[in-house]
Amino acid sequence: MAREFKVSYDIVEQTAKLGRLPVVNFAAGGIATPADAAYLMSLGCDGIFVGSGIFSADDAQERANAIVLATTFWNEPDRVKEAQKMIDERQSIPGLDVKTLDLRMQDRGGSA
Amino acid sequence: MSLTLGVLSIQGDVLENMLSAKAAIDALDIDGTVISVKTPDEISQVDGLIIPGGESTTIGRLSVANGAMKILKEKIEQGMPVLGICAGMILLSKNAQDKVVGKIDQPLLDMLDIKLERNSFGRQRESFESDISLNSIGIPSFNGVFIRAPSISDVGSDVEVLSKFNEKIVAVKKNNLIGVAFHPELTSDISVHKYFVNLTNTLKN
Repeated sequence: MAREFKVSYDIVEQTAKLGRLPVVNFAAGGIATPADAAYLMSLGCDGIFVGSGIFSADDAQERANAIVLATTFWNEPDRVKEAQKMIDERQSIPGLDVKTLDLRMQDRGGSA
Repeated sequence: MSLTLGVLSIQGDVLENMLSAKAAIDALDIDGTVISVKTPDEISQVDGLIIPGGESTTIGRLSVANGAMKILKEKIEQGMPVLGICAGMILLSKNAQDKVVGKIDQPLLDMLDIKLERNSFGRQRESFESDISLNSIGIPSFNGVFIRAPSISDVGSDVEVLSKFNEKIVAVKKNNLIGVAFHPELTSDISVHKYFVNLTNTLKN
């Protein structure tokens, strides 16, 4: 299997032992609400980084608390709902639709 | 009946402790499982608990938020064995001071009468490994991994000192509660976990 995936035997062995990759996976970028954070945790992330999602919102402190709660208790739907209710959804940074982006990374070229 | 050991999984070194505890159970040939626990319901199912290293304020505050702190206190008062590692030992203590930031206000379980100092050996870059001994529990030599570790300057009369490093107390025991300042889950030596599994298993049967 190490040969098939072109990785070291040691990593294959560790991955088999752990039942997961031996590195932590943090999600970041575009996370604005407790529900976003819980959703990413449910996909298997180990943790969440949130920057502008918190700091560009007027309810930054409450939002930070709510996102921490939703990340920690992501697999308890009632707690995620409680956390989501701590914030004002209308104040979340707006999401971007890929279809309407002015500039897409794959079109940007290497020298930009 | 099968032994159920829990690792408090709010934040911190959870997976490493689950693996070490499982390895200890297998090495001792005990019928048992290790589960990660977070909710009061999950905590109520375990015979013994490891509170892992991590960030003690984070673990403490979030344990209050979901009601885990309350059931932890109840179960410890009823005699549940706990191995508190680094942040876990801080959480077991009655009060904690921080060498770097001074007096702190954080939720604690208030179970071990020890005078504890957080960040006792310095900040992250002052983390180190050193050989230590825990003779009274039959571990003469152990590779102690100290990561931004706390230490204990004084203990109450009911607390037994298990190990010292540079005159600082780094491991203690009070009945079924064990606190260590270093990280036994980060070495391949599972002696400390074996000792804790044995203690839990003896109490259960």
